[in-house]
Amino acid sequence: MDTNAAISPPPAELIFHGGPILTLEREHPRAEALAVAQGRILAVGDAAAVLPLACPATRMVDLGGRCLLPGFIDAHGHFANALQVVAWANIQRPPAGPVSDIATLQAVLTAHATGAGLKPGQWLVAYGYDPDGLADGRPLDKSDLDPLFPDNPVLLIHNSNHGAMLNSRALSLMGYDASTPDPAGGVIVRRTGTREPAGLVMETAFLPLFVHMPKPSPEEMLERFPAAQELYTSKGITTAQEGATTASDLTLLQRAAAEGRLVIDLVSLPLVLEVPAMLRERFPEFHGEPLELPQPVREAFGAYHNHLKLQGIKLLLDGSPQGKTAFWSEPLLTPGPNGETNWRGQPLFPPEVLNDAVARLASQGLQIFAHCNGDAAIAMMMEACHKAGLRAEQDHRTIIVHSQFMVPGQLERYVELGLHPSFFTVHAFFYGDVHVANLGLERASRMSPMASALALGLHCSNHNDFSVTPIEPMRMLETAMTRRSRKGLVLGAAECVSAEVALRALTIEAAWQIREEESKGSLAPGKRADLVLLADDPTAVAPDALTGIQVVATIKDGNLVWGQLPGAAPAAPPSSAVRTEAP
Amino acid sequence: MTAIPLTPTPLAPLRGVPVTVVGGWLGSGKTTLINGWLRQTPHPDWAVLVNDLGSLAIDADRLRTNHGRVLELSGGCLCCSLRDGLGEALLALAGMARPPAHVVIETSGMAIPEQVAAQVPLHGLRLERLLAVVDLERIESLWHDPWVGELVQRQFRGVDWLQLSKADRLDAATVAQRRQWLRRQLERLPGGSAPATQDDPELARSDHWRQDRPLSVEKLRRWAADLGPEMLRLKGEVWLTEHPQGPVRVDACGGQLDLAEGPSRPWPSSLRRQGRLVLIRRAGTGPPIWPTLEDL
Repeated sequence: MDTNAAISPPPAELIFHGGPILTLEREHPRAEALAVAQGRILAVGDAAAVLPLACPATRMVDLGGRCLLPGFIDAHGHFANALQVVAWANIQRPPAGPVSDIATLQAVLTAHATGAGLKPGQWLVAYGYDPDGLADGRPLDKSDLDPLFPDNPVLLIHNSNHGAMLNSRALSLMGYDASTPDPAGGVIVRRTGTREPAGLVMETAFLPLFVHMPKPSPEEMLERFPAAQELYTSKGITTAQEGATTASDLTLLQRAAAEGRLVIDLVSLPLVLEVPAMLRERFPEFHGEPLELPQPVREAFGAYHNHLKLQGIKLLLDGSPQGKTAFWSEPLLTPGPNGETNWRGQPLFPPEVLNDAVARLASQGLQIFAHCNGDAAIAMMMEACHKAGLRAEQDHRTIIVHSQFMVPGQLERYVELGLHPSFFTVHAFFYGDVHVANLGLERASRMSPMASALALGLHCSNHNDFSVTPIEPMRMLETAMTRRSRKGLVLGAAECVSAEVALRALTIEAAWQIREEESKGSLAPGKRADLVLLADDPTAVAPDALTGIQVVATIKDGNLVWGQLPGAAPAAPPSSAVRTEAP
Repeated sequence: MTAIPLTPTPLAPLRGVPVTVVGGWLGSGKTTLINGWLRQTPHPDWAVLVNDLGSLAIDADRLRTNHGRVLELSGGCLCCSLRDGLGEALLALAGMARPPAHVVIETSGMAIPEQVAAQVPLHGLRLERLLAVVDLERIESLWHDPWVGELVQRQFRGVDWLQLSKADRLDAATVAQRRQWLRRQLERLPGGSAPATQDDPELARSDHWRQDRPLSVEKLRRWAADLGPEMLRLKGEVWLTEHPQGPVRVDACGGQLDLAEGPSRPWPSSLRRQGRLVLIRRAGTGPPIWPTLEDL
């Protein structure tokens, strides 16, 4: 392989050797050594070719059998949520969190309150409450929380993000009691046989809580950037996504970037509905057509400034399948979220509005990321793309985020129109059993059809949609390979893919979707030295061992941003290094 | 529980402020209707909240107001955004120097107006009326639309009255036919009785009554029967002699009075027994006579 050694290369700062190096390059998928200089990959290939690049200043990293890969790329998620949850207690069930019963939940809350120095009257907020994960065989009651927190309102956000468990203090602050009727489209759950609120409130009964929740200042939010980024770097992610950016989020992200607070790259996708507010704030004199962006804004897309870039515009067409707010063409087997019969969800935009938005964005050359979960939402989006004149040969890279429940024939249409899916395979684990109940096994098995999409030559990425599911690249691999639910049901065995293919969805294909395949996503000379060091080779272990693989170190632009470099030693003379490594 | 002072609710300045919720499909004429109200009578102390999720062309300037209290509601799915647009807009209103005397919420054309209205009392404001604007020209095709038809049908739930628009673009026979058709469709919906309709774009009159003494079912029925065709909607909870344990829901439109069989909930306390009725009648009617004991 080319070592770029011809014209006085910069000196190698780091050289990795002594373990599997998965390049994600089709020609040379494995290498023996990799050299880094000035934030980029200097050389990658056989040890005999790379190790001689070492000079006295080179730091030699003996992998000791550990595995080096390109840093993972978050193909879709919500960094803004990371800034929120780092201030909250994590009460998710394993594997996402530590809570297995009411006692552990209470312990986590108490520890969080102590750690945060909670004063009387202040809110205690936690996320990921899942009654199904409690071994006690019953959901929480407010009396489980009241003795611990008599003087603090407690809010435990339900894992659906559509409701919360409250203690008595919070209920009384909200004014919810036995005499409060359930609002339309919402529920105040009562103690059995009474009208006394038990603590859980859902949907329209939950929404009014946001008014009471603490509002951190921009300065407090800025202080959270290290912890929020660590959620990503600790899992080997070197490019994160803010996949539904509001006007106020954008202001915060730009400020954080300008102040040098970003250590990893962050890709922002402004929400289409927030675009007018973003423009008004930055270009008060500009009065264009709806969704018309001024030239400087269009040109700002696609380039990083201090690790932050705008890449495309985010459209939302429907809700979530587990919340039954996705938009399907056929009804579910179970009632809708408010007990509706023959429920098939609903779109968030009518077709005429969507068609207009897609046409206006596409004609300005803006990349579109469209959230579509149900097949009807996908069909609406395909129709809008067709009407806007989008075709595959234009290389517009319109991404259909989730592409979750597709029906036969839709992937072929993706090929014609040039649409590409970002899949969400961890749904098999987290929500697979729920999908089978709602949709039946056959429809549920069509979720995230990765093997079929790849067979058609589509560029498929895979995502966690953080904070909807935890940041776990290894679980993305596992679920892409096994498609197994919590209960052990396999959803669509024909769509299982190999570890190598599943890894591409987290690296080179994810890079392609944000037009960074030339600089990221694989290990090749000249590409960014964004790397992750794993304790084991994910292509060499059984799928169920994948989530046990530890991240040893994460490197962004050649700098260690998380963990430790093992076996790091000053460079020995090149000849001896080569000799040591020779088989 | 020890009395620890909590931060008072940040929406305290808005407590009891009356709210009008205006729902209806995109392009049905919600903005035109609200603009008409604001033009006819100056309402410098009103605030208008606009939610344009679905239209994409947000332009708060389009509302002709002379006080600048037009706020946008941001929307989106809660799962991803972890925020609530209505609450944020109300917080902004509560923070203004002078609280509004009335809040008009124009829902998104894709929203279920009833679900927006349901949050109003939970925020401590008073829901005065919920109306849906119906575009007579498009309603029939929207009703059967393969993409959005079911959503269009769900938008009619719980509305107090229908405000018909764009009748001027149709001939009289078509208007009559559409009205009849719409009534039939609404009556067929689950739990459906068709709300009253109004063509006059003036804001209907809304009065409310606090009932401090119990009333018999018979007296209530007799009073309601006398309200006549001016009545668009009567709704609320009454304190009935026959049911001392709690308030009983009442709902009337089109001459029919629906009374729940018994209390839907207990009184908050024995000292807080009180019925509350809202009576919505056509614009231009005088103050109502309530069914006090002396009158009946």
